[in-house]
Amino acid sequence: MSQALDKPKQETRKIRVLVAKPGLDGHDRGVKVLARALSDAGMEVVYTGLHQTPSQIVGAAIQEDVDVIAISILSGAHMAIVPEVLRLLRENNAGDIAVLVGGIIPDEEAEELKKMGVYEVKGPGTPLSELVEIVKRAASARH
Amino acid sequence: MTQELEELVSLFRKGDTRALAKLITMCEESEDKARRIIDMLDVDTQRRAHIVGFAGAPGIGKSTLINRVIEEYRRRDLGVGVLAVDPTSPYTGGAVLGDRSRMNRHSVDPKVYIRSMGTRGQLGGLSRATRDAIRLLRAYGKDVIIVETTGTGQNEVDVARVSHTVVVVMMPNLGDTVQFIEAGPVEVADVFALNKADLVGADATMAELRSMVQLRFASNSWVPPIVKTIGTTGEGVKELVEWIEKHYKYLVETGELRQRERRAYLYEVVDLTKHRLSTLVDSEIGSDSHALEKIDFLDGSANPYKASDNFVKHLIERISGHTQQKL
Ligand SMILES: Nc1nc2c(ncn2[C@@H]2O[C@H](COP(=O)(O)OP(=O)(O)OP(=O)(O)O)[C@@H](O)[C@H]2O)c(=O)[nH]1
Ligand SMILES: [Mg+2]
Repeated sequence: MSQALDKPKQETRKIRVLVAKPGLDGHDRGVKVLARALSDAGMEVVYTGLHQTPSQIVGAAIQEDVDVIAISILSGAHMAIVPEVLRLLRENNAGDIAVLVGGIIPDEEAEELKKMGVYEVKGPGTPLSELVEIVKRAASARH
Repeated sequence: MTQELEELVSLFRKGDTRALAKLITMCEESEDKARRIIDMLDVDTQRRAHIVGFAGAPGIGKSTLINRVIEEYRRRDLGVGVLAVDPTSPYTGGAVLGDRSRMNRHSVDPKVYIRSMGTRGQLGGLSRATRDAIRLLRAYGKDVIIVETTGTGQNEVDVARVSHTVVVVMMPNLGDTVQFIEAGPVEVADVFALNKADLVGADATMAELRSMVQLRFASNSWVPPIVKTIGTTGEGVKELVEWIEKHYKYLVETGELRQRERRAYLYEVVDLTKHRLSTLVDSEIGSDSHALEKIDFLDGSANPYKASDNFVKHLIERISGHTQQKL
């Protein structure tokens, strides 16, 4: 057969992101706004719903083959949840998936999380456009 | 790339979930990769799985219901794969894939695999890679593969073309139920789920559905049952799954299973061919407007029908290898 049909189109690598909201804090308006902004930037955003446990988040991230996990925690439980997510990712041979954390997190704890392997930590006031850029950067660092 | 692929395939054969997930991603990324993966796995000859499609209007409760259906299959110790397809925005190329949030509790069950997919520019309710993902899940050893698509009309027809059994989900008081039914291609339904049966008006809608089924399916050898369900509590889901299984048995016993699979296969060939031709058209035009101009230069008469004739002739020459030259 000719070249024409053999080589259809250059490949499209689409960024896939998991947006998770673990812990007990109530509403998900914030993460839904973030999900929309990321999809407007051309990404595929998997939303997992409220009150997810670390093992549910990691299970979902692996099954969905995402590049990035964006975790939003306002309940203050970040030091319990995030290290567990990182541990489970490594345990499942998925330590290359980038983890971003959003929430009200004191500087020294943010530093600690980054030392553990979190890609970036951001507070609630961060502009959406900045978050979108961070996700893009985190994803491209992976490929 | 080939080595990476070989490694992935060997991990996949050992049951590695990450490898499965990555292979599906590769199938989504390009047709070329999909072809190589399908070649390597030679998957169609291997295992059997019951492919069950769920269709129905947005927000009618499909994902919530599927969450319970997974539970019911797990009670029977069957392995389940779910492909949840949502539309990709034609403007941004992005998508918010929300189905998983209704069923994410199953993420920790190693015998359940759930994957969210965007339609990625494909018209209708499925993406090009959906069928590859079905094949991968079957080769992976899933007993049941559930495909969720949203919307009615063409999307129902699309999901019917890949499924053995189609569950059309309805709910009470969906405007004028009869009118709604008339508009949608209900012929593809093998089982009706009247979901949200806890809402008022369920009995009236049930009666309407019954008379519609009597009217439209009277001469069929399989008359679709209507099962009342409540996705949020799981009520009626055992009965729903029993009917889905009865339908599969019916397909096996009557030999219709083979026919459906044959038809699904032929439609896939047709769709793949359409997709490749349309990709070819796009790649001939390219992205710059100069190339676009050349299409008209083929004729110059400003008659779109003639220009298109010439374009088609050019494409045929390209395909048959008579010319290597792009436009
Ligand atoms: N009252 C009632 N609500 C239900 C039932 N099943 C689902 N819901 C609710 O209906 C809403 C939509 O449910 P989904 O499962 O997301 O619906 P869907 O059909 O998958 O939606 P799309 O994927 O967007 O097309 C949710 O708020 C569910 O909680 C039910 O049986 N009764
Ligand atoms: Mg859904």
